[in-house]
Amino acid sequence: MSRSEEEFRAFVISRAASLHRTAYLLCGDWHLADDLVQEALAKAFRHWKRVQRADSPDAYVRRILINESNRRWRARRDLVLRAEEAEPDGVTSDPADEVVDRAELLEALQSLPPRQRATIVLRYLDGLSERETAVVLECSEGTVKSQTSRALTRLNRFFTREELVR
Amino acid sequence: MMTHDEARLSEALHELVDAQPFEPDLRTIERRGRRVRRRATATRSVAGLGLAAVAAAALVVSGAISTNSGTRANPLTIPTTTALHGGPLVGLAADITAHQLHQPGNATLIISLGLTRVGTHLRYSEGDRGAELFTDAGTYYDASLDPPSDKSYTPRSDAYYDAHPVSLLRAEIAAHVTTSNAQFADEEAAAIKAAKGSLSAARRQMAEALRGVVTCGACVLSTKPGSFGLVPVDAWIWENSEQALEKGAGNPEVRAGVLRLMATLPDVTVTHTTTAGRSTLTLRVGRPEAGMSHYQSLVIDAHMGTPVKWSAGPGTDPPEATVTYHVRRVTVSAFAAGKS
Repeated sequence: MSRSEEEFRAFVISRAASLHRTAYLLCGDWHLADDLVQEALAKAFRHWKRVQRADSPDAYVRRILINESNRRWRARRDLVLRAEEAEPDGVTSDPADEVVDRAELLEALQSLPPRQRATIVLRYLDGLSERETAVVLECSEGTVKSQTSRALTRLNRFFTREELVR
Repeated sequence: MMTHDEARLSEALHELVDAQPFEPDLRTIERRGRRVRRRATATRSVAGLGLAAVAAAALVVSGAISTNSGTRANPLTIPTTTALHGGPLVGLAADITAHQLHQPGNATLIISLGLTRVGTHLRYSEGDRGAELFTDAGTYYDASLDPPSDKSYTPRSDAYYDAHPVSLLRAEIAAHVTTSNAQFADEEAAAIKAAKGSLSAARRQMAEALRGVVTCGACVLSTKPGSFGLVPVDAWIWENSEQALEKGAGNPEVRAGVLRLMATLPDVTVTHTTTAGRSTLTLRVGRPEAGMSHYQSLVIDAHMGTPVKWSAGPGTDPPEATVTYHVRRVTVSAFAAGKS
């Protein structure tokens, strides 16, 4: 195995779980998240030298992941009768406990436009700053601020509850 | 600094995902990475067969499109509508097996050039260039180049396109920088199984060769048309067989097996063609009359079964993307020394 391949494998092992969590919140389905991460990492593998030369390889791969998610989201939007879509994987409505709120939050997240959803996931799951988020999304910090603000407004009902996703 | 509401949202998002384990499948990722070359070339014209097939099988409105294969009760079985006896692919496979058209040398060199159409004009941008060497002893060298940015394609001699990746390949051979070829082992094994006669088992093995994509168990048995009007299993067999033919071009047993497998696909049409003065067979999937707006075609040498050209597009010429292959047998030492 070449040194480059070894470095790629080390990168995958260190970053795959985090990318998987990001992918899930982007698409709302664990199986699709598996595939999204594999595809993003496959593309990173294909262009590994370019990834390594990037200022932030992690940001580069997250950008691939988000672009791939957006591409599939658009394809699915065009092809699918949304009413036929399955419920988000692994989250079922159960009036007896907190899972109801989780399902609602995930559904609300999926209802956001792709860029707002990506902004929320990068900022509040991955913990990126506005500047780092702007780098991943290839936009200005001002755009990140406005996208965040709009998304938070749409998700506002989850903050106003006494018990949030508990 | 997060506000109180932002902190609560962050906490909630973490709770949504924290319990889910994930182990990356490095082998599958690297296999898919090596496939990205051709798929990336065609991305703009054709959705990737992998997830697209899964998604289409799961999500396309039932009954919208009918195909020859739509009536099969079990898509894993060999369709009765295939030309397994007397068809040109089976005939060529038999010739390859009988004569073991094994050229001299101890390795197979494959040079590929991808082109992607720019906009609606008859202009192409240069895609990936690849030079791969598969030795008969099982060693694999891969020198692939990313597409140069914004570089338009203008016709040049083959020597121009060969130069850079071939030089890189020679440098890798000199430095013994090998690449794992294990990622194609499943496809090769399926093809060899098909060459020896176990077609049903070989179909299943070829369909499942890229396990990372086949994540939807129910789709394996789906008869709903997906990519190019093929049922998912047939689409996987088509794509993986293409891959096996490319990577196993130097192995007559693999070529014969791939041709036999492709002969089991009821929606693949085969025509006798001539490509640059060479006798070829053109295999094509995609049925515009059935509502499938995209197609793929694979041109193979009519005598050797080696790949000549792959293309994809909306159904009208010229194609959106092409990959041209130059396959030849070489002796490793002579090639490394620049003598062949």
